[in-house]
Amino acid sequence: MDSGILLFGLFFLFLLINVPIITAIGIPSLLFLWYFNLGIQVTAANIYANIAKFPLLAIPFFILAGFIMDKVGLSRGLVRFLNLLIGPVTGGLGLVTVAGCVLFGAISGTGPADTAAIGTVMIPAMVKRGYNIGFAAALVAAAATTDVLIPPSVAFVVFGVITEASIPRLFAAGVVPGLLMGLALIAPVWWISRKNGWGGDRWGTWAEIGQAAWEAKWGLMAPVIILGGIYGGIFTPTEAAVIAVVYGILFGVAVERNFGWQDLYETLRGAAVSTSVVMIVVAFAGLFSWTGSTMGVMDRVTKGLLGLTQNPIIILLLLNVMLIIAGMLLDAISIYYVFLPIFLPLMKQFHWDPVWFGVMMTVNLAIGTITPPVAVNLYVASNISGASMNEVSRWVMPFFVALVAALLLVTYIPALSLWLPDLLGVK
Amino acid sequence: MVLVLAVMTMVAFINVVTRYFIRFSLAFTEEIVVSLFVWLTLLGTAVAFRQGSHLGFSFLVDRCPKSVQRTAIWLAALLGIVLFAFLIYFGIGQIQSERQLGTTSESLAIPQWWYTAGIPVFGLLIIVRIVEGAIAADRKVRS
Repeated sequence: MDSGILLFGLFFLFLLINVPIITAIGIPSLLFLWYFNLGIQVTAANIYANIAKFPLLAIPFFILAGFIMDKVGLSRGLVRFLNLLIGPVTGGLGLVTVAGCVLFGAISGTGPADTAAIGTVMIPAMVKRGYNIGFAAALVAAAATTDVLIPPSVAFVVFGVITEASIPRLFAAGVVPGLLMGLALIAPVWWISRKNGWGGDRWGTWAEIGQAAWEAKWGLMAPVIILGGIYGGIFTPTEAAVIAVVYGILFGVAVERNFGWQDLYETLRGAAVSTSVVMIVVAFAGLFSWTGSTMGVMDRVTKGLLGLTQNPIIILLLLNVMLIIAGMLLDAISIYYVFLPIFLPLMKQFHWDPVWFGVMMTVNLAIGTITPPVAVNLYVASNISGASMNEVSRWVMPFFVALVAALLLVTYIPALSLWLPDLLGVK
Repeated sequence: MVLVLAVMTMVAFINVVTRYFIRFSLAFTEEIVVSLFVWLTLLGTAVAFRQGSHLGFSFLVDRCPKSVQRTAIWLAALLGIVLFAFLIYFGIGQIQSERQLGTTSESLAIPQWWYTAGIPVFGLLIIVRIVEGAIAADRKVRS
């Protein structure tokens, strides 16, 4: 039997019996490094080197920034402003949720953080207005997938580190697809809300809107500083993340006056654990990736794919189907490490732009955060709302379909991704 | 863990400020922050094992009888212990070779093994937390 089938098979088997991903991916790697004598002695050095990369430092800082911005309530001002602006139309609160998630996405770097920040405000608001609680939770989870594309994005940092694609360019390339995903969600929101007669509050007067915008200015300023800093060539993404942390703390201490030592401790603690859960996967999935490549397994899978068809359009479709299925079982970071060694030779062969490819893959993996059974966004939304996972999973279906439509557009129209970075001249 | 992240953030912030205002990048800060990052990851991993918050696929096992669930918990714990025991073992090997070769870090030129020492030390902590986490999960299933 092909040793590769055994490597992947063992990983998959462990996964099915609820062995944590790091163990499930780590044990087969060690076993094969030992059995094929590939240099198991370097395991510790490999694990160390997988984590100790400067660009990856953006991850803890963006996660910490997300925790702080959530704690100090930066999302509340944004939501109040959006609600006065577009709230009263059919499905209005649903649309506010979508827009809120997109805006908060420009501050935070991960989908679950977005789900939590917007969800804690919008799910109770929607339920109060008569929206179904399962719908509300599913919508927040689906809208928060845009956060993965809207810069800053932890996923793009990891993709950039693996493929050596430019992280600022990836960030810029994610903007249009992220907005597109948000737009795609409007149709099901409007349609379902119309059927059920769900609306919003009254229209805001211009004076009220102006005032709410002024009150939300600190929230609206955050993305300007973070992204402006990166594209103005002032900060690297890692530095921008540090600035975002300091900005959030200053906002909490000086403006809202709701951020004390206890809050600092709690946000640091929460961010440290969240970071570690991501980074230890980076470490061990990196080991797996290295093992698989050294054994030549990844090459064989690539050749197998090319043996099926040489048509790039069909290959892209195949890749997306593979990724959607993988997204149901695995988190995005593991998928990058496991699949990218397989995809990189394809990218070379078909002369695919790595940045566009990264965006396509990331849209797909963002969708993976709402496809059960493994679906972090749904899990967070279910926790916040109190609706069961089953109920949330049922309501998420129309949003899933809408996001897949956006995925197809991003897949087959590379200009959607590459237009903005080219316009900005980001290298 | 909280302290490690706090120090990392502060050092990184100071570096941004100095680089921007006095156009002077403190190269050694990068080394410190990156090394602390490894420690942070290992410390946080230990906490996450205790809380049971590592990513996993619980869908199938949750639908099995309690005896199966308990077996799965202890099997996962056992595999986790084996994994980190190996990591500790190879970490110690790494330290020995670094001491023999007298490897020093790139910018601060302090012995590299000071950083590497985090792997066996925190690895041991992780194993303790794996056991604690398994006991807690087991108790939850039984009750």
